Amino acid sequence: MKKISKKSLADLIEKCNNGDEAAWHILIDFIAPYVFAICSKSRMTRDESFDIFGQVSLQLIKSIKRLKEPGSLLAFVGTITRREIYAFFQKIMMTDSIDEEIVNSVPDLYSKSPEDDFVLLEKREMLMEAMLSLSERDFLLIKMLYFDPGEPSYKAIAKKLNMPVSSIGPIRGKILVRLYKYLKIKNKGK
Amino acid sequence: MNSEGIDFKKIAAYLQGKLKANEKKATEKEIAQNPVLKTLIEMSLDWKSELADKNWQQAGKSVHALLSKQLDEIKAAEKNTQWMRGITTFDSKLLPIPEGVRPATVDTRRIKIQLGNSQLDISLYPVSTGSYELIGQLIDWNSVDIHTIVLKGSNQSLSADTNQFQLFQFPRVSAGHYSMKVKLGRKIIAVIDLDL
Repeated sequence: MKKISKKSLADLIEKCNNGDEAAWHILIDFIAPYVFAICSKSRMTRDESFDIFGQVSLQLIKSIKRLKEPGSLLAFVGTITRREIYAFFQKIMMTDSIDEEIVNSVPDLYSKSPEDDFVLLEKREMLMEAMLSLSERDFLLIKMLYFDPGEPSYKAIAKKLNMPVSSIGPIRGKILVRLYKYLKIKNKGK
Repeated sequence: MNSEGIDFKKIAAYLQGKLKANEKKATEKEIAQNPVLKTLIEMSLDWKSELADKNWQQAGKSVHALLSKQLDEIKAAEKNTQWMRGITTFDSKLLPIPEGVRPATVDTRRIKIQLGNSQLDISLYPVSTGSYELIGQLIDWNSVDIHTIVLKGSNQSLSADTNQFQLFQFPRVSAGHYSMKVKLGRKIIAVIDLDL
């Protein structure tokens, strides 16, 4: 059975750097919802978001060697996503000229204001940052427990992470404390 | 329980939706009084619900398919530095058909390929069962010269010239695997692998 590293997530980035395809799929599972969340807040369609994602993933694959700190991963992905979105809208502006009257007549389907979206995204980034500070094993454990839509059983999680079922509960508690502490420090810094 | 009196065992159970109604209410009250805990819980649940969304689950599969394709293409590009190798950044075929849409309305396929700092946009329109009209354009291409596009498959070899806008067209291409070459005179500028 494949041993899951207990060291920092930097290991996962290192594995990606060495061309480990499985590591890339773990990393992209984490990154993609973040990219799509930024696209969604920018009112992009599904196809447009997928288009942006393709550019971001390509740039990430090409640039991962330059990422020394796992903490800079989110900032890097966020920056290239926003840059690609900006370039996308620039291209549209060059080709389409939409009458302001038409724009005003389109009903706003979004209940939240741009400010609310920004706060939400900022909080999300904070949680992702906190998760990135975890070890690879802890990161995968929390991801499978709370963010896997397939809701895997404890037995399946234990098998995948090569750990006894009985240790999932205590480790999960410790991870939540760690995430809480990380967010508390971040909140104080504001 | 930690030094602040937070019962993280209960919080964990709350996140997994495993608390009884009265425990859930009490935990929610506790969460509401602690802004940091509130952020942790709200964001986790918000994220979880987004990932559980059917659209995202379908998009998730597409994301992994695209990633595998990009990793393969980058590997191939590293092996040969004589010419540029195309790397796919978008392929509408990888996306699931939106629910409630008849396949006939979405059968046009769009592919975007990165070629160094330029891009190749390809649109495919079905002309019969198993054959397509292919229209392509080189975007942000650093040359106004007329290029030759060679499309070579196991059963078919076609060639077309670009116009002054770097647009080209193949009226009928059979489905299959192709190697597309962008040539300037005899010189190969770029190679793209295409599955039509």
